[in-house]
Amino acid sequence: MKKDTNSVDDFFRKSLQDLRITPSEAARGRFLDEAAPAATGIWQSIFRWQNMLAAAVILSASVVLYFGFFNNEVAPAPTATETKTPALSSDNSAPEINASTPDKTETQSNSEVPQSITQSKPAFKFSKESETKVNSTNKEEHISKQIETFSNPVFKSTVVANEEIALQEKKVVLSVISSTAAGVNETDYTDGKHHLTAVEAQTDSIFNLKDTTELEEDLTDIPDHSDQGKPLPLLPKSPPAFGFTPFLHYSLDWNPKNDGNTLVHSLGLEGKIIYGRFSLTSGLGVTSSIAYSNYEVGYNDYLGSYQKLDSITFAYDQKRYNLVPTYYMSESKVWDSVLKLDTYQEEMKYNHLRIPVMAGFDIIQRGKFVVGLKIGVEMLFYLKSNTVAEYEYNSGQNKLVGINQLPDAYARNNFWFMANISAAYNLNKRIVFEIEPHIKYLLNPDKTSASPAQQEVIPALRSSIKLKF
Amino acid sequence: MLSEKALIHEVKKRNRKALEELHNRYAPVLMGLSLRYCANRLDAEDVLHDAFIKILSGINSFDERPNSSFEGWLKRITVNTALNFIRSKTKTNLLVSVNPMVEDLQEEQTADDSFLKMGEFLTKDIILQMICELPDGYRTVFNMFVFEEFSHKEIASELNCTENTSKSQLFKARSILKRKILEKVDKQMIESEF
Repeated sequence: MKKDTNSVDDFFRKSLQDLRITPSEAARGRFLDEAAPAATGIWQSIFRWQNMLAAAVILSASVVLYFGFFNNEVAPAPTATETKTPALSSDNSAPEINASTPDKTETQSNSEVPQSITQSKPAFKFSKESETKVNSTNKEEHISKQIETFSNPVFKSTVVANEEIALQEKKVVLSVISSTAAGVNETDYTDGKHHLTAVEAQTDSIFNLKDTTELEEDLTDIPDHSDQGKPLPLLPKSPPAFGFTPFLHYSLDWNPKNDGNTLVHSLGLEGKIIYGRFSLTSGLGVTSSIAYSNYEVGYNDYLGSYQKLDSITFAYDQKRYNLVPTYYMSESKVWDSVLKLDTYQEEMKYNHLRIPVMAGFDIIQRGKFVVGLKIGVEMLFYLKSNTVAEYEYNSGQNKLVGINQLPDAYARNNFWFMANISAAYNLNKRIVFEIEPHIKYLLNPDKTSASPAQQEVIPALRSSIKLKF
Repeated sequence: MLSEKALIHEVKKRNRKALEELHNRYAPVLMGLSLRYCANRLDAEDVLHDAFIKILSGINSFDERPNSSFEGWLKRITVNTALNFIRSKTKTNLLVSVNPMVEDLQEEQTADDSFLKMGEFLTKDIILQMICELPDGYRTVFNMFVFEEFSHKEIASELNCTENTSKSQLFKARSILKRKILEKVDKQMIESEF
């Protein structure tokens, strides 16, 4: 403990006790840039134009999905092309007949129907001659909604295929293929092309009629349930269906640890096996992702320069009898011996071969809107990379000691587990919009958890456009 | 405004707002401290920057017990950073070993300090300038002894010199400062007369 106090010491101590000097704004900015680069990096990367583009695609897909959902909730107003609903001729007390899919095919004369067809007594007959007229603005909406009673399952269906009102009349003879379960009478009629299900309960009856002729003509191997009022059963009797789907994905991976999100474009072909609500998807695709390669730079600070004395020569001055020196100097620079580290990034484009194996289950099938869960693994094999934007590191007058590339998740082969929530909207029978929030858990065998740039769990959002074949 | 404890907690999470507040709250104090050691503003800002980086890297090890002072901890780091800076800047030995004459020390103790009363009217900038104009060795020892309250033994250990060297540097620093104060006071008195 020091004992020698001094009045000078006291004077200075007292005078400068609460000395406060505000550092320059540059010093403050320098500290904040270095101390919290990740925070600024996230916002910078979010507002990069590629990310904005991806956000626009996702937003567009969301809007389509949203309106698609509500379009299936509310039936549109009937159009002028709609034909009148035939009067239900019931030679017996006819049961109430409900259209299985109360959508666009509802006709304007719907209101006329219930009175004539509502009947609490379930015993029903089919009239010999019956006519069903169906309006549809979409070719795939070819299923009759107005079903009449008929004793022999003969009926005519009128289909408006498009706005040009191409009416087609078909006369189909149906035969009973199954009927009657305990408590509920369910009867299937078919002629091989058309299919009619009549469900008879205690108080009413429900008819599902499907014109399988049109189905055979229009539908792909992948069943399209958008036309049906109820989702597929969990385990249907029919064999699994198979189809190919070329796809285009835009995916935005959040990767804050790596100082930047990653925009991934994928193009490829998927094969899908569908069995009821279950599906198994695999395929092959090429992904192109924009990511950032981080470099660590070691350098010595430049401290300044001085005039180094190289040599001195002396010339004898005979007049003054003394030596006149001549100094030979050169500038010499001085660097600090303390090694400092800095980082900088280069924008890279990585191409991978993508092989997914995903199992799916459709939770909701509502018209054209399907929500499902998918889990599986995805393997990305590194193909090539090239530099998109090369930022030349300017060390100024500092002396560069070395540059090391930091571990980069996207430069290697990737192997990850994925869990997706998929919301799909079938624009028509060929084109599907899909939006999938999902998480990826990296399963790379060579992953380095200790690396600060490596993130094991990556939340991501993917929007897709798919073609069904 | 965050409490000190909350601020430390948020700084540990590298919350940018908290980092800004940390800098806004403590940088002026630490800048004053750096400037006392470094004598020029550019070097002082470099020291301040390095000190803050060290503070961030070491904040997880800061002991948050009730009796531990966060500001004291920040100052210690800044002083150490400043000393390292001075060492790296001064390749040769910072201090020239000189044995103080005992008489000089006694004279210093008994000198008339009444002029210091006059010095109370000097501004902080002028007083700081006096310290900054001291040679590196004198200034370092004076700062460590007067403001950081190091003992001569501790100063000798830190600066790799003898205790006597530390004492002599302090003595010379005081002498120079006393002379400077006198000059300033005289100048001020002359100016006030006119």
